[in-house]
This record gives sequence, structure tokens and C-alpha cells, in this order.
Amino acid sequence: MGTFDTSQLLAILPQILLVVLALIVLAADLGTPRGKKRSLGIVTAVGLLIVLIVTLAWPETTEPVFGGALRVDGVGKAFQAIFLLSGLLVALISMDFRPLRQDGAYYAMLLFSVLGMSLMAAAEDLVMLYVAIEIAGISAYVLVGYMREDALSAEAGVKYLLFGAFSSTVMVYGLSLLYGIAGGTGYGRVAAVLLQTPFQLAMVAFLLVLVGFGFKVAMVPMHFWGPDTYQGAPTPITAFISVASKAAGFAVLARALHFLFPALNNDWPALLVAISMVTITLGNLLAVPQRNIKRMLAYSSIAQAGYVLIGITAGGVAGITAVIFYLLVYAVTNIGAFSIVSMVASHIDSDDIQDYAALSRRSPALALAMMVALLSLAGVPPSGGFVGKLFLFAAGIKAGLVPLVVVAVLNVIVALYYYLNVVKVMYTVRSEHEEDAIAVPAPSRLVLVLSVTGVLLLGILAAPCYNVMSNWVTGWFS
Amino acid sequence: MMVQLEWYLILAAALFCVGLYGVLVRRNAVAILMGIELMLNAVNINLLAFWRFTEPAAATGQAFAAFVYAVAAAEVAVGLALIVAIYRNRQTVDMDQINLLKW
Amino acid sequence: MTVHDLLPILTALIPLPTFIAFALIILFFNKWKRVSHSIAIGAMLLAFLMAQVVFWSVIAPDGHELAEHPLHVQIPWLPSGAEALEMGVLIDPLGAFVLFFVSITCLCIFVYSVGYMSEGGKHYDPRYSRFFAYISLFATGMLGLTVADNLLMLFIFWEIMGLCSYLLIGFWWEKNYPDPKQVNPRQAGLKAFMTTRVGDVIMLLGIAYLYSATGTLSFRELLSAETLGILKEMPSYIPGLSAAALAGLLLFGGTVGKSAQFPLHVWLPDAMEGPTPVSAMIHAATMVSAGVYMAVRMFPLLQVGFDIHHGAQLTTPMIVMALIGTFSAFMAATIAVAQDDIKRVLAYSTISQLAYMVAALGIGAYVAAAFHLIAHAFFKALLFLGSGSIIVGSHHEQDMMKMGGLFKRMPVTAITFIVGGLSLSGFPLFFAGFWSKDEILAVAYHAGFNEGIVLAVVVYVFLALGALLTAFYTGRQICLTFLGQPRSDHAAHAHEVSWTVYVPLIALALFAVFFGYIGIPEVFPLLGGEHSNLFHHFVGATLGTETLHQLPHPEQLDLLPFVLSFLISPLGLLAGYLVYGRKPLQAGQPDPLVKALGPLYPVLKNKYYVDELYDAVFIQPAIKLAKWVYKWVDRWFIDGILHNVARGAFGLGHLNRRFDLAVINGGVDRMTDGIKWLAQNGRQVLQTGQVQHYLLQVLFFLCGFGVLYVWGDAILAFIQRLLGI
Repeated sequence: MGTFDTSQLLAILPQILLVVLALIVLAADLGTPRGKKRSLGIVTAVGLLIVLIVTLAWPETTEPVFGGALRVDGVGKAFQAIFLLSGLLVALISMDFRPLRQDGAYYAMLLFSVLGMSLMAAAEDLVMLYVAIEIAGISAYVLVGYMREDALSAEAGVKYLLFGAFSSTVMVYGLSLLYGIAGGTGYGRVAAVLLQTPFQLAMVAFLLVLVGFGFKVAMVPMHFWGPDTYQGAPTPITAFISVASKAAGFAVLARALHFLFPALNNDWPALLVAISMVTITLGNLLAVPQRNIKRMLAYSSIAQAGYVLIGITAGGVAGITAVIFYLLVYAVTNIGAFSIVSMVASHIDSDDIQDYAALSRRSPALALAMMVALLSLAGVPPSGGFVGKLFLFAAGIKAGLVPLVVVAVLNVIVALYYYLNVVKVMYTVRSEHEEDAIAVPAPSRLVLVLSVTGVLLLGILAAPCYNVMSNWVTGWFS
Repeated sequence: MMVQLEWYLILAAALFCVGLYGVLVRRNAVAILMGIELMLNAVNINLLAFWRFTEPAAATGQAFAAFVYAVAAAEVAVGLALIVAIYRNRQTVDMDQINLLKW
Repeated sequence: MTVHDLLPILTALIPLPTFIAFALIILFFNKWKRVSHSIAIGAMLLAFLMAQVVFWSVIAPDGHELAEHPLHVQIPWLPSGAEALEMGVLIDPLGAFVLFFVSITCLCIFVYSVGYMSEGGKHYDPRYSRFFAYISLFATGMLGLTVADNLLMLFIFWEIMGLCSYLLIGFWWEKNYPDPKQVNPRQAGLKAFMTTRVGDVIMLLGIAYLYSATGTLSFRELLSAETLGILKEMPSYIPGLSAAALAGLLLFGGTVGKSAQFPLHVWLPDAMEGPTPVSAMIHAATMVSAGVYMAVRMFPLLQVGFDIHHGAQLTTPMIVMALIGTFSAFMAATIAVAQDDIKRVLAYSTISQLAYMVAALGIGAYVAAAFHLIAHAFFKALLFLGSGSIIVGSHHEQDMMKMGGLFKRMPVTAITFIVGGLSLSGFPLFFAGFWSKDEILAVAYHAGFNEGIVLAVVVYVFLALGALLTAFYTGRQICLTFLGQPRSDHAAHAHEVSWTVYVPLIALALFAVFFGYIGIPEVFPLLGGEHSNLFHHFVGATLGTETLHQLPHPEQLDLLPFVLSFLISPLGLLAGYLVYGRKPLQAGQPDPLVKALGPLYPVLKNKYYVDELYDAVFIQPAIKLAKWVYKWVDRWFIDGILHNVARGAFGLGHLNRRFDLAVINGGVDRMTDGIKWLAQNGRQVLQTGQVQHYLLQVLFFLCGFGVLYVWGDAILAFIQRLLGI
């Protein structure tokens, strides 16, 4: 432990700003009359935009900072940007989600969750890792159960909490074993000890830790909470946990595999390949019979996590860059899709796919945006989803994971079926409510425009983005 | 004579299993939370034992345990709040009956 | 950053405004007709200005500078492994001139469409906005194709145009004709799409083949001396053909489809079913140029191995081009003679003129081809827009036999149309068409009679005859339309439409006259000089690499073709006048040609029965095959099996039912219940909704993983021993 140094604090300025922002929102809540609390969403979004700019502008650090607990390198920054962007978009769509009561605590919780995630992305210390995961997790439990009067929301919250608490406890048991083995909590120290003297226990600890990470990522067999929680949670929060929370899980997984468990490099790939295969297949198969669009998107997001696992398993600059690129595309796409679900639910109180009939006649713009999002999720060119999958598969093939990529490609075809099913309902099925247009409030409109342009731009101008990300990632491998 | 590290670890593992058993078989949501607390206590025993036996000079293990306590408290608080919410809705805290969301 | 660094970026942005206009109109402004056309024209004007800035910045007396350092910018588009697929824009002298004429003609179409689609502001078409959206997308395709720097991008824009052409030809899809033999817009759109698709597929094969052979699709790399050298030596799948020749032939397939050359020319005349002049002009003046443009662009590849100085022969692709071009040029010209629909005459004339360019490429005269390409685009656009003006002005009358006397009623249209017609027929000295056509004929004569290439003699003879026919049918068209007395009420009440219609006409008429003056051959008496052939100096440098052996330009004047050029056009026009103009037709009087040509007339009138031939050879057999498959394979075989299985099952069911009723009524019920229960619980065994089940499964998997890790090898060994392996 060195002496106190202000530069240590400056290194986490974006995180400090997030806390300040949360406090501002809470304070503003007191001064805002009951009917006007919706405007807190704007405060949150603008604040997150500022933090996003600061984060991107802040210099990268190659050495651990903040007492060795964090390393804000290129990869960390990229993930932080994804979380902040997701938080921003979610704040905007939350403003007009009717079933949700608007107040400062909601937006503050959202900010705390983003804070936890952005610490997760940079954590290089077991204690920091655990605390960051819990900050992100506990705020998310609250958000999922935020509609207290709604039986489904409360149930989703309890299930999410029990599953989350259980898996994080299992994980911290694993972390305690790692601490015991290494006699310290820094990633570098643990990795060095494990490399020096191989322990059988290390693999057990890895499995235990993987439970915690897998919960965040929602990969098989830690995916069970997903569909139930997604369906019950307030729709904007569903978008948030399906995107940001998942990305945060991948951030810690990628960093842990690279910096914490290099000693197990021969052991984990086979396991992750198997998990990835099962995750993709199970997610896609179970999505097919779903009638509730949120539940369908939940299974689809499980499958998407499986695709991302290909990049994680492949590793290397190509693999990690593909992961980051895909997660960015996925964030923009999925939040776009959920924003439409949220608007439709606010208007007609239903999440049934059947009730999307004739959406193309009710609100052509919504139907078009939904189609773009779904096609991107399915991986149809020229969307970002297509290019992202291409990068993931290319990285997988380069790393020799050919069977896995074959399974993934076959699954892409299965997935096309249920995504196109929604498009079919929107465009070909007639409905008696065709005259009843669905309102699109201004903040949501902004989200839609950002989402659609983002999806298309990332697809058409993939290379420049890819190159920027690839530059960030190379820091890990030089 | 000092008690050896292994004994602590075995105790912790046993406690962890007891907690795990509680989580898996108790129906009452509050009891499940208590099971999770037991598991966390097992983790703390681990952490403190390791601290004592590996590097007592540094306070890392103690600090870690303190964080685990704090997190446990937060989890319980949120958990209880959610359980209260569900009780208001459904008049039950029996996890077997809390299955509106499925398949 | 200097201006010269900005130019490539400006070039890259040229296709963008019209695309944005397309999206805006389709998505948001569909309901507001005036807003839609303002957006479209504004976007096109922007694109036009950008294109003109680029053109005037790069134009120079000598094209070598630009040819060696073209405007070129590219970005990696899709990183795929170590190499990235790159997309970019390229402006070399050829591209600059194509960009020049495309932007002008497109802008003219846009302005003209306002008048045409609203009939001078009186009656707006119900799908007016959509029409502007489509032509905006079309302009994006054409501009994008012009600036593309690689074959893949060219192909993408090529297909965008194909889609637009389909949408525009079938634009009035609800229209039906009483005569079932007359093609309606729906069928015409489909026909155009399918026919050009045949060419496109062949072209795509060519692109794929080139990529697999060279690993690049960029024009600069593909047409570099070393790549061409490799392709020349590389054998292809077909014995006797080099890889270059095979790729060239396949790519030329795309030209045949897009530029409507025999045998894929059938779609173009029917494409005249689109909103009359506008889409006709798109199909006949602008889009079809893309096929020839691609062939000119790829000319170095097509001519690999051709070296006039060392006595080598024409290459296979060149021979094919010369033959197809000559044949199409002559055939289409003869058909045009016997058409009565004002637009169909122009459609066949387009096929014929495009064929001149193809034939010119076939004998190595690519600069002449490019020159004629641009000149033709101007005067043919003028003619089509003029015909549109006539059609709207005379209340949708398209039959020339029912026109007449329009000169007095529509003077601006008449004068501009006649200018276009004289340019088309190559009237000496004053019109662009003369200079461009003369250059093709001069080169063909030179190659045939001075250099001794036999094929070129054939090309020259038939193209000269074609030119005579061209002048004749042009004279016929002008006389029938403008001279004499009106032969119907519609024609009698004809009038000019509006300024949006005739301003583009005047603009194009200027180009149809003056464009030719930048391409006067050096050897031409009086007018020719050392610097008179600017076009040749500029564009000729484009492909002027060391690998390109185009024919030497005639160094001195050949007297015979010179005199013939002067004579052909006036003679043909005179013949047309003598037949149709001296004694104007009266209403109801048959075409004098019917008698003069005798049995030949119906053959020409029916376009050599090519459509009927295709119908008999391709379409009817395909339909018969489909019906046969449906009847025998589907209905008889597959359905038969299904029916019999069903019948069997039904019978079995009956038996079963009796058995059921008699014996185990209760038992079966209980069994089905059991299966249902199992299915439901089996399907739902994973996601029960109970959180503790989830946790248990996690634990189970976790233990499984742990066991596999710790004892995995032991388990494997045990199983192997058990199985005795």
C-alpha cells in the first residue's frame, strides 16, 4: 500500500462522476413535483452522455491503478462505453414506459448498476471484482422488481435475486479458494502463483467462479433465470440486463481468462466450446415455440451469448475484438427491439407476438425499426449483426474451433425462423386495430433513430470501428 | 497446539453444504435467503482462515470478509423487500407456488 | 488538405444525396407529392453539382496525367483475415466523362418527370411520390456504378438499377390490355427482370471466376499489366481459352443482358410499358449504357492477347462482340423500320446503336465506342423525352399512324426532336451523332481494308447498311409525326405540355449538337487539326497502358468511308422523306412499306418472331415441365403416397376404433393421458418456473463438470476397458 495519491482518484474519475450523477438525480428527485419526475430520465441520459465522453477521452492506463484494484485499459474502456451507452438508451426509453412509476430512485439504481459494471470491466483484483459484481447485481435486482404491484415483476425480482445471490456466493467461495492458494487478491499475483505450482484446486475454483460469471452472461446451465426475469421485469430493464449485464459478464470473463487463469489455458477451452454449443442450440430451440415476445427475445439473447462465447473461446486480438464489436452491435440492436416492445406494451398492455399483427399498418416506422433490429439479431446483411457474426465466426475458425462454428452457423438458420415469424406477423397478418397508431414519444424516437442508424452504420462501415477496437485490444497482447 | 488450516477449510465446506442444502430444499423464500447467508459465512471462515495462515501481516483477507458481510447485508435487505412485495401480491412466500413465469 | 485530396471524397459522396432522397420519400414524404419531387430534384441537383465539380476539376487536354493518377480513395470495408475487402471510388478520364453525361441526363429526367407524371401539373399520378423515390434510387445506382472502383461494387449498383428498372417498368401494374397478346406492364417488368437476370448470372460467374483467379476485383489491380499477363497465360476450364478470355466472355454476358444485345434484346422494347418516356429513357438511354460502360471499362481484359503490330488475331471475346454487335445493329435497325409505336422505334434504334458500340469494341475501337456511348446517351435521351412530350401532348397517343401535323402544334418539341433525329441518323458536320458514328465506321474501314482484318470488313459493311436504315426510319418517324395533317382527334388537339417538359429537351438538344465537336478526327479536312480530337486525347489515355494494343488510328483520311459518311445519312433521310413526307399519309391509309416489302414486312413487324421463338423453345416447355411435375410427381406420386397412407391409416383407425370400443376403451384413454402428461412435463422439465429447480440443475452440472475434470481420464479408461477397446 503506497501513500495516498490524488492521481489514483483521477484514474477513476468517470466512476466518481457516475456516483455524483446518481446523487444529483436523487437530490433532483426531492425538488421535482410528482407529475414531472419523468424529466429525471433526461438528467440521467445527459449525465451518462457526459460520462461517456469523459470515459472515451480519459487516457488508458497500462498499469493497475487505484491500489492495484483496477486497470482501465483499452478493453476496459470499450466495455465501459458499451455499458454507458446502454444505460443512456435505457434511461431514455424508461421515461415513457407507462407501467413504471417514475422516480429518482429508479434512475439512481440504474446509474449504480452502470457504475458496478464499469468497475467490473476494469477490475483486476478479487475483492474489487466481487464488490463490482455485487454493486451491479443488487441494483439490478431492485430494478427488476421495481413494479412492486405487479405480480410478475415481483416474482421476476425474487427469482433473479435468489439465483444471483446463489451464484455470486458460489463464485465468492471460489474466489476465497484462489485467495488461499495465492495469499493475495491481485490478478497478477494469483496468476503467477498458479503458473508456478499447478493446483488441482485451481480448476475447482475456476468452475465455481464460472458460475458467477455465467450467471451474468446467462450461459447454459446458468441461464435459467433469464427467460423468467426478462419476461417479468419492466421492459426497459429487460433491455438493460439483456445487454449491459451480459456485456459486463463477458468483460469479467475475458479479463479473468486472460489475466487470472492463464495457468488453465489447456483446460477451459474444451469446456467453453461445449457450453457455447449447448447455449446456442438450447437458446434457439426454446425460442421457437415462445408466444411472448419478451420471452422469445430472452431465449434469443441466450443464444446470442453463445455466439459471443465463440469469440471468448477463440481469444487473441481477433477473438476479443470480435466480442467487443458484437456486443456493441448487440447493445444497439437489442435495446432498439426492446424499445419497440416497450412502446407497444405501453399502448396495448400486451407482449404477445399475436398482438403485433399489422404493426406495419398501425405504425410503419416502428415495424420497420423492429424489422431492422430482428434482421440484425438474425444476422442478415447489411446489418451490424451480420458483420459481427462474421467476425466471431472468422475468429473461431482461425482458432481452430471449426465444429463449434458449424453448429453456430446451423443455428443461425434456426434463429431466422423465429425472428422472421415476428416480421411476418407485423407485415402480413391483419388486425382490427389498424387505425389505432402507436404513440412514439420523442425520447423513444431518438433511441429508435440511434438504434437503426447504428445497426446499419456498424454493418456498412464495419472496418473503421473494427480497427479502432482492434487497436484497443492489442494492448492485452503486446 | 494450534488448530490446522485444513480443519477450518473442512468446517467451512461443511457449512457451505449445509447452506446449499437449505437453499435447495426449503420452500420458504426467507429460509432460502438464510441458506445463502450460511454459505456466505462459510466463505468468510475460508477467508479468515486463509488470512491467518498465509499472510497475517496484510489485512487483505479481513477486508475481503468485511466486504462479504456488507454485501450479504445488502442482499438480504433487497431480498426481504422483494419477498414482502411478493407476499402482498400473492399472499405466499412459498417458492413452489411462485411460478407464474415458466417454460 | 488540398483541393485535390478532397475531390475523391467528394466523388464518394456523389451517389449519397439521391439515396437519402429515396429513403426520405419512401419513409416519410409519401403523402406529399410536391415535397417528394422537390426532395428528389434537390438531391439530384446536389449530385449533379458535385459531379460537375469533379468533372471540370479533372478535365485536361491530355488524359495521361489523370489516367496515371486517377482520383482514387478506398476504405477497408470488411476485414476478412489479413486482407480486407475494400470499397472505393475511382475517377479516371473515362469515368469522368461518363459521370458528366450521367449527371446531366439524370437531372433532365428528374425535371422532366415533374411535368410528365403530373401531365403539366394538371393530373398527378396516384403513385407520384413513389415514382420519384424509384428514380432517385435509380440515380443512386447509376452514379454509384460510375464511380465504383471494383467489380463487386459495380455489380451491386448494377443490381440496384435492375431492381429499379423492374419496379419502374411495372409501375402501372394495374394496366391490362384487351388484346391478350399485348404485353402488359406487369409482364414487361417481369420479362425485363428475368431476361437481364440471365446476363447478370453469367456476369456474376465471371466476377467470381476473376476473383478466384486473381484474388482481387479492383479495376486498377485487375487491369494492371502483370495481372493481365498472368491471366493471359493461365489456362481456363475450357481448352483453347485463356483465363482472360473466359472471364471476358462471362463478363460480356452481363453486357448482353443489360445493353439488350441479341439474343437477350427482347426485354427492351417491352420495357416501353413503363411510365412512358421517363422510364423508357432510363431503360433506353441511361441504364443500358451501363452494359457498354462495363465492357469499355474491362476492355483491357477483353483484348488481352490482341496485338495488331505483331499480326495476332482478334481475341475470342472480341470476335464474339464484333459478331453479336454487328448482327444486333443490323437486325434491330431492320425491325425499327416496320414499327408504328413511336417508342418502339426508338427502343429498337437503341438496341441498334448500342450494338454499334459493342461492334466497335469487337474490332478494338474502344475510344470510338466510348464517344458514341456518350453522344448516343444525349441524343437518345432527347428523342425519348421528345416522344414523351408528344405522347402527353397528344393525349396518350403512341401510334405514329395516328399522328401527323404536330410541327405546328408542338414547335419546341418538334424542333428538338428533329435535332435529335438528325443526330441519331448521323447527319454530316453539325450533329454529335455524325462524329461519333463516323469514327466507328472510319476505324472499322481502316481495320478491314488497310489492316486486313476480314471480320472488320463485315462489320463495316453491315454497320454502314445499318446507318442507312437508321436514317431511313428516322426520316419516316419525323415525317409521320410532324408533317402532313393530323390523322386523329388526339393529334389535332395536341399542345405543348409545360416548361418542365421542354426545358430539359432544349438542354439535351444543345448537347446533341455540340458534344460532337470535341471529337473531330485529326485527319478530317478543314475542321481537323492537331488538337481537334480532345475526347480521344483525354479518354484514350484511360486504358492506355503498355498492355493495350488498340488499333492505330487512321493516320490519313480514307476517301471512300469519308464520302460514304457524308452520303449515307442524307440518302436515308431523303428516302424516308420521299416515301412518307412528299405525299403525307391520310388517316386510315396503310403504310406504303407493307406493299413495298411484301412478305418481309410481317417478319419485321413481328421482330423476326424472336419472342414467339423464345416462347416456344423456353417458356412453353418450362410451363409444360412444371405442369408435368405438378401432375405426375406432385399429384400422382407424392400425393398418391400420402393419400394411400392416409387411406390406410384411416382404415386402420376404423379397425382400431372397433378394437378400442370393444376391448380397452378405458385403458387407451389412460395411456393417451399418460403420454400427454409426459410430453408436457418433458418439454417443461427444464424451465419449471421454480427457482430451486434451476439451482439444483446448476449444481448438478457443476458437479458433473468437476467430476469430468478430476476423474475424466479415469472414466474414459474405464469405459474403454468395459467395451473391450
